[in-house]
Amino acid sequence: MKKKPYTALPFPALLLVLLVSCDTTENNKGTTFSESSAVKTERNVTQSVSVKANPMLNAYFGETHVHTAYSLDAYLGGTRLTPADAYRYAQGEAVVVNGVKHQRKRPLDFVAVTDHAEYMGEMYSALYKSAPGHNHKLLKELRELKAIEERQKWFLKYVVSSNRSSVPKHPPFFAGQETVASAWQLNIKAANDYNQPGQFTALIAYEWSAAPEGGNLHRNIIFRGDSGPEYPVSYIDIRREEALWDWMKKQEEMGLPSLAIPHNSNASKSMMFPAVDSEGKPIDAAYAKKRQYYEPLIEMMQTKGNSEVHRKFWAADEFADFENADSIENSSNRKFTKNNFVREGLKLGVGFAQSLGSNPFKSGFIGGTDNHNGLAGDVSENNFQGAHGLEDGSVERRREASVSGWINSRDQSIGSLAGVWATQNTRNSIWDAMKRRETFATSGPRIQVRFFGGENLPTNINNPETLVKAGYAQGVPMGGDLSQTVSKPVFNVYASKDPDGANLDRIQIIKGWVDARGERHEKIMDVTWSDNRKKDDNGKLPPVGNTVDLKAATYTNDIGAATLTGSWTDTSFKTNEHSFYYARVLEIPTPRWTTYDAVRNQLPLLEDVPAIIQERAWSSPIWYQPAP
Amino acid sequence: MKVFLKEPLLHFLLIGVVLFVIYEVLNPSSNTDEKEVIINSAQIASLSAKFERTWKRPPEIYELTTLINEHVLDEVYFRQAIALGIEKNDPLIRRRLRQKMEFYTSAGDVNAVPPDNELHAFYQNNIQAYKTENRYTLKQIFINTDIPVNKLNKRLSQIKKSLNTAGTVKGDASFIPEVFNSADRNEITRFLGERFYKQLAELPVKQWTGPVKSGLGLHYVYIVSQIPGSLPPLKNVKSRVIKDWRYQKNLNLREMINKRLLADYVVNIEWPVEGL
Repeated sequence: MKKKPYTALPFPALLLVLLVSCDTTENNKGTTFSESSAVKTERNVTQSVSVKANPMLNAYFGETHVHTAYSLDAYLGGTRLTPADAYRYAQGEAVVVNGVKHQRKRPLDFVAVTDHAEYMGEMYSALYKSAPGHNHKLLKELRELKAIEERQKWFLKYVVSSNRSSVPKHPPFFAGQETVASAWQLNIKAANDYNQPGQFTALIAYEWSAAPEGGNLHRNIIFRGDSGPEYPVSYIDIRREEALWDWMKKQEEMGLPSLAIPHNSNASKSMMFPAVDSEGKPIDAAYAKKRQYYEPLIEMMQTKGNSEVHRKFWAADEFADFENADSIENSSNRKFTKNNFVREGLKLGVGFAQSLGSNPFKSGFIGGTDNHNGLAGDVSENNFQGAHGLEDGSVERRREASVSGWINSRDQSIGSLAGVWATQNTRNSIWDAMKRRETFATSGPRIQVRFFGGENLPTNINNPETLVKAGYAQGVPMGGDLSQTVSKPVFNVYASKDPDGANLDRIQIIKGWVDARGERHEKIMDVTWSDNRKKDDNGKLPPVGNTVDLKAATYTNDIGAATLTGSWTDTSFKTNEHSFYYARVLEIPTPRWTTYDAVRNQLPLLEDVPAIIQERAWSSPIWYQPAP
Repeated sequence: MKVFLKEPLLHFLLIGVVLFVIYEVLNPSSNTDEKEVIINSAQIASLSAKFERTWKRPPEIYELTTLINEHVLDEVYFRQAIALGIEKNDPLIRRRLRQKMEFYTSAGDVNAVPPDNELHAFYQNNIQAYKTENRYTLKQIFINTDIPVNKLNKRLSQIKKSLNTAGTVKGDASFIPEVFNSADRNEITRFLGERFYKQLAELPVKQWTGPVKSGLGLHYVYIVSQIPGSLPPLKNVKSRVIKDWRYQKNLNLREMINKRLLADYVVNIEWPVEGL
């Protein structure tokens, strides 16, 4: 390589580009039209499609939490994929990430791109020259500057310097809140562009990223319809969740219903399931009702760990040691506490239902990845190439480095998949299923799980179709409430394996409740399992076995079952106790992503992470609340 | 002393000192301006604001002094690193810089619409991408394979017999529909997986065949009709083609920028001589 002086590179290059881009803008003058008209035109087209519907509901799989280049942190991490890229990737097209081609093996059914509201406008004015603010006098001034040197000076003064300061500020030509609104409209436009009723649902969404004292209170806000509010409120606009719900209420009154999905309760510093509100006052029935209404779901697991349980607090749960993400304790003074985990949060919730009359933490389960590469639902263990730009973009860094401030790369779970029981693949149908909590989460595979409860359900079902019909006719599905019962409730459960994945080990039902004194309890039952195994004298089911070849990173389906059907009756049910029940489906052991990564790159297996895992699915709970 | 000599940190420091000395010797003209670090009031305010965002209170003066001192050290280390050129061989820094550059240079009009002739040409050139996938109307009988092999084989041969004699056969209980009506890939793979869908194109039509394997078990399949994938006319897929055109235009623009950048350089790649 013959060189010019190294220092000479940046400025001519930058200027050249400014020139190039000015050219293109001019060339396109005659063919562009305003953003709002584009959105309208294409939206109208998408509404005229008629869509197949299944009254018995289909399981649709998707993503509720993914970041693109419009998120400042993702951008700084090296992400260049836009929301449009994320949708294309979700639909099965190839994209390039960290210089490597990446493609899903199976398309997703739905995606909510959730870029941070914070700095969204800044990203927009930087990324697009057709942005409002483009005609700001400083930009006009730029176009009038003839000499290269003058342009250099301009660029340094107004863009580079602010970008270099320790607190990046909007450059003077940044158009304020209006720019945020424009960036947001772009997000909405991409969603509307790629939304194809019946084929693929792109939900309008964003992330509100509040983190007071570093505690994670993040929520993904998902809208039901084909349009969103004027602009998304950020942590800068609204500091705490109560005010966020008030804002959501206002939006709903204007015809824009939305729901909020909290995530990473494992990193919330005890703030996700609090006993006090943001002002430090004990939470009351009004808080509980509001939260229950606006937050029907919680994200179960993502790259930064599984929030269901942690082995440290659940020694009796033999499957609690799963993607515990211990290294998130190494930064930001995060410490795991039992109250931070979803199962305990549900118990606290029924406790509050008992003391306040309303359950603030009535959370159904949903999946998401928090992938910062724009790779929606990139949850295949055998196809994982990092989720945080350069930070985990090479095999060396995935093995040895960390995602700064968060987690050792090798310790990452790669996120979970969202499962939704809906009649058809449309925005309304999928959002409505989320709202009524008829959802489940899986740690990646497309396991489908049905779960029904009711005192009149038949107990001897071996036909899943009958199970579902009886479930809807005589009981309630996952996410629902048992009616006031007089006898013992029955729970029927069915799961089918990922048709392109591993067999199933067992289905468990997990019950949590509070007794009359308010003490919290739980119980885990093995309900149905594969291979005709027999429980031992202590009632313990032997492990399903293991077919993983660690040298080749392969497994076989010689063990396990393709489908499992089971029924369980809660014989110790008490009509005066608040309780909840959910199903957990376990797969047979398969290689963890780190094992595929090691084998693919001919490196030794890592010693401090498991080489094999048992992937799983969690149904949303069914609750029981005694009559007051 | 021996232990000391093996210490990598020490080596690193020694190399640093040597490089530093070489740099000083080679750059005698380093003037005082480059040796001056100015922290102005705006920067101090921003350090203070950053602190306040984290801790919800303004920093005490000793805390602010520490922040400023750290900031000065950051700056000094940064200048030294650049002066020594140690960023040049760090792939991470290089990639980050390239991405920052790409950020400043990203373009692309999100609302651009091509003239009709250009759109038409784009559609023609990429026509395979718009071909729809096969749809099927089919019946299937599911056989659960979670039973002993001898039983399974017996069951299979029984079913085959009764299918051939035009009898009806009841499949095993499952949630897989017995009939798929003009179903597309998504609908079929939702229940039966990719492997099953791919096999369908090879199966004969209007007769029972099987067993066909899916991830869930075995199936006897009767394809009533195959609706082959077709090429929709441009007017039916116009908005998608426009999207793809925009996407491609962005990629082209990036390539053009790369070319313009490269035009300023003479790139000589010295491949190893064959046989070496």
